[in-house]
Amino acid sequence: MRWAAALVLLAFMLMTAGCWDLQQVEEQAYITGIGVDRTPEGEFKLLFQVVNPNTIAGGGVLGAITPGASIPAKSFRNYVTAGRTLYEAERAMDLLIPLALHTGHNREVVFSEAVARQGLLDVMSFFNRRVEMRKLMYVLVTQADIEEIFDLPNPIIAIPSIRLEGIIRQQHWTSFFPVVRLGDFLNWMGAEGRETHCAVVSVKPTEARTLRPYAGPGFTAAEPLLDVEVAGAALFRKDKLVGFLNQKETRGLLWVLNKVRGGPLLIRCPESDKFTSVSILRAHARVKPEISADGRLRVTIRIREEADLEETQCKLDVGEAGAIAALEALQAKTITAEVMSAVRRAQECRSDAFGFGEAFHRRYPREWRLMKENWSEDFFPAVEVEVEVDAKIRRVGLRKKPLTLAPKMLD
Amino acid sequence: MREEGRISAFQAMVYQISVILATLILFHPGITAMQARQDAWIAALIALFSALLVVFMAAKLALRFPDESVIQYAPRVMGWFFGKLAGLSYIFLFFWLAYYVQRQFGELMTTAYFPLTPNIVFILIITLLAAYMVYAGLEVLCRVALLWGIFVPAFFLLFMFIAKDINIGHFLPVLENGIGPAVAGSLLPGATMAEAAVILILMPFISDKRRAVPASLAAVAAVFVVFSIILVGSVGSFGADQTGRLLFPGFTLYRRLNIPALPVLERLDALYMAIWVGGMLLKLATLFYAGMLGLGQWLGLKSHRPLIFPMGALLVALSVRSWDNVVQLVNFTTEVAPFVVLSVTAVITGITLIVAVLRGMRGGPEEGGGKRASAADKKA
Repeated sequence: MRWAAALVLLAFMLMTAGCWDLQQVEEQAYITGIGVDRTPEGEFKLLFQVVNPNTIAGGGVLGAITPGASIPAKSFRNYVTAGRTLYEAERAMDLLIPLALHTGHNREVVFSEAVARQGLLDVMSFFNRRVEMRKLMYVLVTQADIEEIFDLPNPIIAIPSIRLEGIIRQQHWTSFFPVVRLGDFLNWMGAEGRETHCAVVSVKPTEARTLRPYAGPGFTAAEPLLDVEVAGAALFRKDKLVGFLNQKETRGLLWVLNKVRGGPLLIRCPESDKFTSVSILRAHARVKPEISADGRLRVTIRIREEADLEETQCKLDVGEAGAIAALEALQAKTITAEVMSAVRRAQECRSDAFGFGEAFHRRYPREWRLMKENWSEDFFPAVEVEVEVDAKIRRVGLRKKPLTLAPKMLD
Repeated sequence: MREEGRISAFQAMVYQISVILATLILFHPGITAMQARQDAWIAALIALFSALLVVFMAAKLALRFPDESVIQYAPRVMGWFFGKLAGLSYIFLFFWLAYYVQRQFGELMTTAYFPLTPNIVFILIITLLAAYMVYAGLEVLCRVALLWGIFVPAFFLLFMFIAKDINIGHFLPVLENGIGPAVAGSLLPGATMAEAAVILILMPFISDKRRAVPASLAAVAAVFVVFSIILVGSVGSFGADQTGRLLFPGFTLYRRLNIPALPVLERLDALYMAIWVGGMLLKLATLFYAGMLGLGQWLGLKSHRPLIFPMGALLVALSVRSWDNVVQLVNFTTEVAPFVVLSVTAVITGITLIVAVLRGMRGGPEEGGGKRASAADKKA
């Protein structure tokens, strides 16, 4: 009797799993990418990328678009609606989609430049308030069309939003763009003495050409004409986009934020027009703010960095004493230049993405009270920045002496 | 009242932890961070010491009358009318906190996981479970609490994953606006931790009374540690400003947690919630039990059991009707709750203790373990 009762209770547990909020997996539309833009009428344009699980599991469904045709269906579907609020636009999508929208697995959100320049405060409530929205999604800004970003074909990873996530996860190979998650983005937006920033995604023509014919049976599809590229950073003041950093400048910012995890560093050889590449292994930065006696703001950034030698065109014998030290000094110069270019650009934009204000707030709380109102406008652009780099080259690969040609071939 | 069985001082400590913990980790870190800003950790320390003081006082009072609960000896100490009034205020406090807990539970469940399900479903389920636990009695309750307590160290485990996101800079500058904000921020967590004064009701059932005082203080210290983890974790990784704006910082904290090397270990908020839901049930059950026991003694009943289900129904009704929305509930938590809790746990307990000391009153030695009890008295 007891066992029977226990069994009945267990059965109840299985059946009453969700109360009113029961969600069936097969009745969900999983959104993996969100794009936000503005319509000419001034409404928000919302794009949801919904994956099509049928095409992923079974190797493609033929005839899904035109019945009887042999073109496989896309593995995703983009829906675009407009509304005064994003929620309005989202619900308008329900008139088009036969499944329940599920945003819990969203990978990234891409804002168009128009929306970002106008200010993201209005749209952030939508992302911040809902429990289902994870703060781990990536935030990106684009100057291209969001519909293009989320539709570019590429056979290697067919779903554009998942591809974009993949590119972001490979950031440690370059450090040419910041990896900013929604949670960080929001924290920085609300922070005192720091402005927010995020990565930039753009569309780029493909350099590779298709040589084989691609029409007719037995032939392959053409090379896609365009690619998405994630590079550079977007700088904000409060919630508004105010400028962009290019790849090198972005890494200049990341050095200071302690976010450089790797990447190529190009060094010009001494007394020649040739170059050396090292790959960054690890780096650590300390920011030290100072207010001098005459009231000038100074920031000293100390960066410790380690790298491996990857490639050199210089006639350089790394086995020689002093050769490594010379390279290290040049490397330090390159890093300093990167940081300084980022600082200059940020000061032009009046966007303190570095968090210098925070650093002053911590060290000089009393003085900060006078500065905090006009920090971005008056004080941040006047901050004097000094960079001290301690760069090391730890390993040189398999070769000590450079590859040289035999003398006879030089003539 | 021997029917309730006996518990050890350690079990009493687990009981006290269950009373405090679950709500302390819900709204409180956000509210403390809002008031004390980057000095939230100082606020937590102040709260710890003020709560230790209140609980020490309560435990001393309980030890003066080791065989009775405060409801029973208050009329003797302060005269029939004021004594009964004091007793009623303790009972009121426990029931009032109980339906406040029911509502909090319902609110987080509907906010976080079940937006379409009516609040009352969760309130009913948790109340039925708690009523069953109260019906089963003190020993059962303590054992269930201990079973749940085994999982609490998971907080420490999870903290290791949060630690990497903590930015010490978020705690600077220290005491930017003086000690004032920290004191203001300490009020709510201090009041909640002072709920360990439930020892006033538990004392007659504790077998090793001598250890009841250190056990009570240990309970406060234990919840302080968990509270600090959530508080320091969320202020350290979101900054004081953002933490102050969040409704449930602990929940958001564990939801944001991710480990780059182990992408599988995401969404650990489920673990947080599992601990929290269990804690909420125990909190309700322990408060409900303390209230029922007190009510039985206050009315002079042989058993409080027949009143459990009617009282449970009353609490459900009160929890649904008392607040219109979650914002009211949060404002209530900030502006009303700490004062009510402290006025009972600190003020009434303090008056009772002072009167008892001035009149030189103390409870007689226990019949069974008389030696132990008197030894405890000497020590006290």
